[in-house]
Amino acid sequence: MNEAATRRDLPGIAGSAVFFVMGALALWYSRDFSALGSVFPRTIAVTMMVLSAAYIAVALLRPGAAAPAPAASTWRRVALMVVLLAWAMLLEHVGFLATSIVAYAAILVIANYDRWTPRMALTYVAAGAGVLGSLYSIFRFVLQVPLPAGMLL
Amino acid sequence: MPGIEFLFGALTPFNILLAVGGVVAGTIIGALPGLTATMAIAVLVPFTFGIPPSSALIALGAIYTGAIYGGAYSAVLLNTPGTPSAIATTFDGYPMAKKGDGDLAITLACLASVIGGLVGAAFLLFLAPPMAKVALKFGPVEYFWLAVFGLTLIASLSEGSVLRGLVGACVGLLLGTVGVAEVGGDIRYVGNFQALLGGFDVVSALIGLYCVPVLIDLVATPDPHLKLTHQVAGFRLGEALRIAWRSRLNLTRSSLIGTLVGILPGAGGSIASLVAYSEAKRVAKHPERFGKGEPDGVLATESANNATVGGGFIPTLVLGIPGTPPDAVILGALMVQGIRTGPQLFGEQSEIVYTFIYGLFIATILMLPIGLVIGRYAFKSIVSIPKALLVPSVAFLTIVGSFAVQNNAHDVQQMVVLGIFGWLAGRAGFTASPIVLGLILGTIAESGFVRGYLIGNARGEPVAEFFTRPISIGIIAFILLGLLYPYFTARRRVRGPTNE
Amino acid sequence: MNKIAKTLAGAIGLTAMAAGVALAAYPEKTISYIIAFGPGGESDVSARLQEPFFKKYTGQTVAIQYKAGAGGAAAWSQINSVPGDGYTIIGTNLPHIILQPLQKDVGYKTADIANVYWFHYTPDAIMVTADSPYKTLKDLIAAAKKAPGTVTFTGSGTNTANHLAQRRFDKLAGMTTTYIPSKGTGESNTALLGKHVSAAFSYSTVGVQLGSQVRCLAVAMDKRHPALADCPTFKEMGYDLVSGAYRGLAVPNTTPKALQKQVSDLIGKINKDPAFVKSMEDKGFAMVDIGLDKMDAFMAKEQKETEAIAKEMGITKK
Repeated sequence: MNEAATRRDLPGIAGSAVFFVMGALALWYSRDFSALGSVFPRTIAVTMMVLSAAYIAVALLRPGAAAPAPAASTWRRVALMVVLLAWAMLLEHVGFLATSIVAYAAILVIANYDRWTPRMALTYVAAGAGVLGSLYSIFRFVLQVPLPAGMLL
Repeated sequence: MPGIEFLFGALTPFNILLAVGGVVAGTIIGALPGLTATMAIAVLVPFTFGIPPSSALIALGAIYTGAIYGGAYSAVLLNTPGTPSAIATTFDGYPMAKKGDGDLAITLACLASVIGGLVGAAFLLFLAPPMAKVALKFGPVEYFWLAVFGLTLIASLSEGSVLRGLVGACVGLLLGTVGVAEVGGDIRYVGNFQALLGGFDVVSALIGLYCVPVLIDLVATPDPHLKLTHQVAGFRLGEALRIAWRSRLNLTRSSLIGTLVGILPGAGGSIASLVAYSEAKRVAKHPERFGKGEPDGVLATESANNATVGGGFIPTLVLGIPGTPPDAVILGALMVQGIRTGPQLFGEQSEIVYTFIYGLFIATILMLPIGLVIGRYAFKSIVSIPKALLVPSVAFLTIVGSFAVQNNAHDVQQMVVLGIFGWLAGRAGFTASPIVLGLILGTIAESGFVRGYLIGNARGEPVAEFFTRPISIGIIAFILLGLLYPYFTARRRVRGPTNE
Repeated sequence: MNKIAKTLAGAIGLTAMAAGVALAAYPEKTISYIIAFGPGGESDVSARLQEPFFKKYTGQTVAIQYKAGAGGAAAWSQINSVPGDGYTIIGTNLPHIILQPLQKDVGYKTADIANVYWFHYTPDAIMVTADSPYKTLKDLIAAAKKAPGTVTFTGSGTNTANHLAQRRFDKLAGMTTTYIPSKGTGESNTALLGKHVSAAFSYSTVGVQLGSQVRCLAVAMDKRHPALADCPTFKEMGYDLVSGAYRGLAVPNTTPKALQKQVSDLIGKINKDPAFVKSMEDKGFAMVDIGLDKMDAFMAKEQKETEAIAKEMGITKK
């Protein structure tokens, strides 16, 4: 417990520093705005800077419990983020269904911790196809959402 | 009872079928993250054109109330509000699910939604015209103070650090300024990104900030998403009823708050549930339990947001001004049908209105059995589906859901970027709720501030405008009460710790 | 020479016939009708009123889709990226599609949009509450002249049709009023009915919708609107103000001219249907018929006028 008490809330301090900079940038970029259009952003930016600075000060002076870092697999997290980003960027150009199928399969692999057996692979592929297929159909045909076709589908 | 003769008109087999169908469709659509009540109604409106107006209204009202209830499913099970009105349900709903009480949370949500819906409908039945007059008294200045009130609530609800919550709210406020300014027309913080010209869409931000971090953390460990501490048998209805009865004051108060907020044009379930939640926490015997899985929290939020359905219909039907965003769509549908809203709707054309109101009552009551059954299946499927299938399926829902809001791929990109940002912010201790609520309240606050200033300025007294209107003074009093109350109670606790 | 000419003529004739047959078969399936705004607004309502008539005249259905964002710019900037096969039509609005590119970089230029028909407009109208002290337009102008800036008008949006109308009228009447922008008709109606502002520069459709709760002081049309018989026109009161928001349809600019004409003719047919006209006029819409043949002249005129006002208001981009 003593060890935790002396640990500073580094993530919180880092975050606050980022937000402080964000506020400063917001202030800087608001110099072109009209009178009415700048009141709000400037007030918020200044408030944000003051509050983030205050948090950093408090966190430095009064060590509190930092957010515990959960034991985790980093590569899976990063992989998921990459897949999601690629999915969002590509769906319009390559096609919604095509990108969804690839991304779905990729995430399935990322999220799976059990050892792969042929039977499992088949079950997952079938189940995944079923879920993806029905969800896609609901959105495309029932709700009439125009999912982009792109190059492929 | 006004218009009681039309009760039988509402009880026709056709109308009951519409009510049931509407509740089922609405609940399922509302449960899917990204599909809001507004979208559910917009999609199903064309089907209502061939049928008589009162039946069309019943169908739309049923969908609406079902969707607001359905939003609780993903809020409880995936920490993602299915609709913006379910944001506050994540505060205690998800912790309950993590503790193994997810099925109880869903049943409580159902009970609360039904009760809230009935209260809202009752106001609609008995007090619509006078309440509409009250709604009109709220001008830009009042909305500004209401938004400020909402923001102070965010601060007091932040677990851990009030400062972090406030910074988060500021981030949300700033995100809300991106895009074209409503007054003045400035283009703010867009740079060269076409995607940002329309600003940050609330629903995409909602999905991104709440759901994506959950997914990122889900893939990080092999543990199952929600554990089951007991057999999934029954709905735990008896238990839920007991809790609800114990909490009847909370339910009544939250429903009233929800109705009143719903009556105000432009304010909907998200604000209503936030206010109800913070009030429930403030007067609770054990406020520290809120945010960790306190059933009263779920009861407060779900009754408030469903009360906005009935409340929102008041200005919609009496004045022709939409009370909540879905009401705008319903108004359009009524217009196409040739129904003119306004005081005469309650006078000469009262058959339509009263048949509809009784139909809404029926739909809300039917939501109890329907909601319990659907909830049971939702819970079982989320709990038993293996993680390897759950994560990609939910990911797909986030992608397609954020696309479906405006049929625009840019919203999907916004969602993912905000999601990753949200995860990083979460690691630093900044949670999603202050940011999202800042986003929602920011636009209201700025609009109220600038318009109020312009109006006051035209009269030559810009500052007085903000502080001399009676309703504003009342709201300012609430703000001060909310800010100072914790100090009083803290002092009292320090002075007499043995009094517990 | 004759033989070659004849063969050429025959080939051309055949191709024309084939094209004609293909064109004549249009439409063979559902048409996508994109609305650049959210559901429930005027664009949505007028599209839904057209829907049954599309079915009547072509046997095909239209699927209405919403693509809201950036005041319509999100949809208009993407219209040319879909195939120009006549199966995607998009609702367009004036002065929006002229004003927006003038003010900022919105991802499209006015000339990029291939309009085929303008089928109605909602005339600007000044409205006050039914119990307002201003009984006629003269009262309002007198009050504004007595105390410049104190008379407040609300309207939908900044630098939109309502706002332009308010500026124009200020000039015509020689007065100064303050414009309070509202986000959409809902907010502007609340501000009006709640008496937070003196009056609203809104549309005739709103006057019809709010019915007996409001009094229409003037409407910007050539002749009085049938649904608002008690509302005088600005012209009657001595002010030359005929304006409003036009709504029409466009197709991707890759659509062949012949196909564009077909779409234009189809809309024109719907626009002449008496049942359609009645359903529109009952709600306060005012019909116009600007088809493909009159399009270029009309757009040139609108561009000139709108640009002039925009420059005067100082809202063109630097």
